[in-house]
Amino acid sequence: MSDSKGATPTDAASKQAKREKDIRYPASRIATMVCGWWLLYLLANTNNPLAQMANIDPTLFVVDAEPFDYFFYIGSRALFLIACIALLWHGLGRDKSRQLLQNPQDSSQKMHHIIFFVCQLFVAKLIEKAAILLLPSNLLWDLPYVLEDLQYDSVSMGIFISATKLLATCAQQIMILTPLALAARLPITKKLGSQQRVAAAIAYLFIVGGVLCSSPTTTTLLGGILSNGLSELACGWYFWRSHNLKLTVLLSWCASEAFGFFIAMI
Amino acid sequence: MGKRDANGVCVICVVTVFLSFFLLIQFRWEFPKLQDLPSAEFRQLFGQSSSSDAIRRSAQEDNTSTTQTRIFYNYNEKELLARYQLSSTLDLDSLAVIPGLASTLSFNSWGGTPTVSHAMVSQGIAVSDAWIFISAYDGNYVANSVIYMISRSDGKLQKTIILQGQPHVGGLAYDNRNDRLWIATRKDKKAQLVGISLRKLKSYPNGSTNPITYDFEVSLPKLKRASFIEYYGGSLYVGFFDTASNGVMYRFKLTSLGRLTEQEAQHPTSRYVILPQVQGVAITSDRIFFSQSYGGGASVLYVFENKGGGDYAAKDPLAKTQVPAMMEDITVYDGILYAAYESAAANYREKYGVGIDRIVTYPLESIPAALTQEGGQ
Repeated sequence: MSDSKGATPTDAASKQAKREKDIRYPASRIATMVCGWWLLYLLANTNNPLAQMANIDPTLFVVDAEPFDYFFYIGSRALFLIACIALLWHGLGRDKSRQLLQNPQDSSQKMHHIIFFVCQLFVAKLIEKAAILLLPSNLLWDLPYVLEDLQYDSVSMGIFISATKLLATCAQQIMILTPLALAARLPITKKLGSQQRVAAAIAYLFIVGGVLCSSPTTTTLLGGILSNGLSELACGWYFWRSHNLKLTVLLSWCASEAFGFFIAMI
Repeated sequence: MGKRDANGVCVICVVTVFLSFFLLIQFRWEFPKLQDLPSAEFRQLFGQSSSSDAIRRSAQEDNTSTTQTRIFYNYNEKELLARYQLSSTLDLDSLAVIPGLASTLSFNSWGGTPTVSHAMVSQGIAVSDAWIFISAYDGNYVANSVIYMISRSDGKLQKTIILQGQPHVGGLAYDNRNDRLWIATRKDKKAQLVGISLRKLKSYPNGSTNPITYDFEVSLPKLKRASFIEYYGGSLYVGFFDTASNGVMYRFKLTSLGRLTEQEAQHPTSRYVILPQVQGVAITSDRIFFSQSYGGGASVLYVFENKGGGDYAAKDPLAKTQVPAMMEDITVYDGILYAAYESAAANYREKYGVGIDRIVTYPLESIPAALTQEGGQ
């Protein structure tokens, strides 16, 4: 991703840029991190015994679930997030990953960016909904109910499913945005023209982001790309502006939940 | 990047490619099989299993085609029916067996090849003068949902029709004026109805593993889920099953050719507030029946006076009768209330033990308050 054009570099920003130049990212560790994420994604989204354990029958859950079952369900999602963060720290180290994903110099978040980001997300989700409705049935076949489908049946389920979605969003955005932030620092990327860089970032966010946000429990792969790709573009844009992963995740989650609630209510 | 680092990257990439292929070929990117509750799995692990001895060995044999096999031993099933006043008078041997419970030849949604499901869960029921239709989805979420076409005269399975995708198919309704079967499905998490003409159903080749094409697909934006459906007097009644609070049911008036217009789908003729946990509805000229069930407890059959609209959740029913657990869709035809049960599905018989593996027919005269004093239907 390119930095904003025409901005006058302040002392702090130039120091920051110099520091970033000095930072070296060991290739083998980064490869372990990215490959590890990919394998984690496959482990969670193929029909293997581990993924099956986390896919609990929604009917049985609503009827008979005990506190242990709630803990197990949310715990499996938390474990996935912990594994993602562990790989991030292994790949970049704690300090470098913080430096990459949260710019301390840009801690004052601009409100108009936040509003624009949320609006972008809403528009993207509306377009995605429309695109999905236009897909023929053989490309978007009906899927069985999962626990997420019962989110708006009661307040307690709503809170519970929302919490699990926050964990999932956090893991997804780490996996999608970290490679993008790293790629922006690669010498080869800097040789590309700004238009080429933007085009590559858009293609990456739409396709890779769309895939990594998809799960066979909620959509087909094509449906996943169409129903998540545009939102990922919005997330990528906001992350590029803010350099703040936490805020990107939080806003993306809030907007998705609000949109989901809005759609369920109409 | 140093040479050692480059070698490391190569090794990691090769291992990742190998493991990716292994995961994708061995397990595939597909819906993971739904599991029992972890707490129940742990209890089973420590020897506190709840499975029953009532299940026939033949039900667990690995068949390769659609069968119409009894799942439970008659003794156990008769004992279950005898526990409820309404079902205690039924003659088990005269009831048709729900097909496909042991095995159903269908189509693998993920692999695109024929497959046999051993976990079909029966849901909807509709009846015409010659046929009984039962819908079912695969409890393992591998195979496409299906409709069993059963001869009404002898109760034998004639053919299995494979539907597109894996909808829950909670409801079926038969329009006897236009000879069309309506199925409750969904698209993109929204309720949808599809219609198939009887002619098309009859011409569907027996033993085919290709999903049938639909004559109509109509989205119902008012409903989150089309959980059950019934046809009565030129209208479709489509309801939403709610686990905790009252459900809703809408009446959609069909055209004289039996079609549901987009305008009507968006603005239904009537709206009814109904009871929570309703799985099916059946309508006669002066009565509305609701089947209510959830989980392993007894189901309840409600009988209300049909006043053509209103709030059925607030009204007192004319009668309510307990029947065996897991009663799903119901329909009335020729003075008989037909009921489909899901308790014989593999996932539930292992959990709850003995269930109902038959298409249960309750004569209306045996149901309290089902007939008016004049004996009308």
